[in-house]
Amino acid sequence: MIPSSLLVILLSGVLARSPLHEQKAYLVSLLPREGRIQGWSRVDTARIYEGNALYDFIDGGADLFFEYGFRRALSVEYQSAGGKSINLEVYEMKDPGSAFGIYSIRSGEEATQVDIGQRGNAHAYYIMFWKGRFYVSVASSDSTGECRSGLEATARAVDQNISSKGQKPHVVDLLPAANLGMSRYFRGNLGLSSTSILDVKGLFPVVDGAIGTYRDHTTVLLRYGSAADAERHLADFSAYIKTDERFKGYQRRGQMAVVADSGNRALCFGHSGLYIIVSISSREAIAKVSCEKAISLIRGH
Amino acid sequence: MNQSIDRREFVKRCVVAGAGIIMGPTASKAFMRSGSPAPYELSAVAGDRYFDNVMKAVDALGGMRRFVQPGNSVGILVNSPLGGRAAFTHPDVSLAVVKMCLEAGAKQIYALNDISQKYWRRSGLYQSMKPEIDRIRYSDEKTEVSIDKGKVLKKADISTLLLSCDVYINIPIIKDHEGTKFTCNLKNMMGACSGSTCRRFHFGESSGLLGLFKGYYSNVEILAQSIADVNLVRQPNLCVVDATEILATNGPSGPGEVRTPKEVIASTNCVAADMYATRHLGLNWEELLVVKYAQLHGYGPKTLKEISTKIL
Repeated sequence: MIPSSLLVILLSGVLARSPLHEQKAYLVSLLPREGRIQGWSRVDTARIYEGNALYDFIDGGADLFFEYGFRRALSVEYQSAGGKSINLEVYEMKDPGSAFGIYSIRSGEEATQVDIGQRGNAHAYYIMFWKGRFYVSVASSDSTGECRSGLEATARAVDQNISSKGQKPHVVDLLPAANLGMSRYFRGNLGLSSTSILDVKGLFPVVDGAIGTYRDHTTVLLRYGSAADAERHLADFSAYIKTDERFKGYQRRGQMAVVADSGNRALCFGHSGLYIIVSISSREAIAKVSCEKAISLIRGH
Repeated sequence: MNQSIDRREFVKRCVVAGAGIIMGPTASKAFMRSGSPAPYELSAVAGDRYFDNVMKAVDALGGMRRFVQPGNSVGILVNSPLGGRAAFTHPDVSLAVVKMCLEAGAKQIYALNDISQKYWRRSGLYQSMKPEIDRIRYSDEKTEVSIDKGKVLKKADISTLLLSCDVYINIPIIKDHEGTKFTCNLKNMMGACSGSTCRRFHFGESSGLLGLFKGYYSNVEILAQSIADVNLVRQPNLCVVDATEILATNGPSGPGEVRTPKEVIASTNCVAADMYATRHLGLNWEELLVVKYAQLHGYGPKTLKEISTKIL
């Protein structure tokens, strides 16, 4: 019989070499080396949140991460001699598409682009970027020069430690490129509704989709598992807006349909293959042209 | 963690709580009426002195003695789990409430969720108010309550102290929320619930796997309805809302855009305060499901005209 103490040692050895342990160790290896961020030191050991434990970390904020596909997150705090603090969070997502998606939804329109990660942006007191299957957020206690330089140094150090890059989801590349401002990627209702542009009843479930913001309109692409699914959901959506009092003036226009919402915006929508395309603008003509453009681009692919 | 309550006190409290639970709907009605006299009252004070402005806002409603009688136990529900900037109630706001309650003669202050010392240390008043902070006690004991009038949430594991305290004060922060679009008093009630109850908010009482397959659209509706339902258990006697520095995007955890209305709101009704507070996020309360469902339950105003408002 194996003594229990020996069993513990043996099990510890097995666990120490387990894939889970290695995955966590890799996450920890992405942290800046001790002393790498001048003037800042780590307050305590890094905390790792696996699966549902994310609720313990960001509580109500966890659902959006689960919608995209969450694996684990690491959190660590740094402090300066003057008592300022920086919180670094590294989220390991299911795949690069998930990491790009969560970044695209959370990055905001008032940001300054920075050459960190595959795409990154800086705000007054935080920097976020995505690279490979990782989404990284670094936030400081205020926006003083000391904090801003600490933020940037921390973000760049993590960027360097992430070795592999990843591909953006294909659907994002289907957005018409001319005059495209922001492009966002979603995998469910939380991602789509966080942009507050479209009431989604009748449209779900989608596989995924993209939102393109342009100067005078917004285009939304929703991808389904099959062309039949897309067609069916478009019929559901049409039936819904014909009866909902917030929409008025439903009209078929060839392969598309147009309706006005409660904000007097024109919604023009159509279908091509796996996709439902919705264009929204304060001017009906622009909504129609942009919807046609997106449909023909998808057909071309 | 705050100081634990002693065993004798806790048993006494459980007995009181148990009586309330056995009384069921009757107890709920008593709670509902205790803090919400019509017309609904609200005061708002803007400025940099958050601590002082809480006092002014509560004074505008008649002062803390209107809500807290000498010898009362007071439960405070603070949105205190630490997140980034503007993601938690400013500790000065919470400390002002604590100070006012003690000055009004409160026998005991109970935290209805776990408030860490790290949270209090973020206040510049931490050292001077350490004696008051040390008087706050906490227990994570939960009691299962039935919610007969709940539309989707029929029962909940909720803070035993919430059920037993004489006076319940909700102290949320206004901020963006990815699901409900807005979090304030109504949503903050989830802080008094167990983790397993909060999970049910996302998938309903009996939906289980079906809830997962239905997708998040229906879940957002269930979440909003569950929040409205759980507030049937007990509404606050007083709401003190932090609208000083608020997270306008990427809520509830951030980081995201921070706005600084520098306002403190006090109200006798949680729905009234939430309706008023939506303006700081540029939202229309009429489009918020959680407000709509709370109104349908009948424990708040249906229009802003029903709220007697003092802006100081």
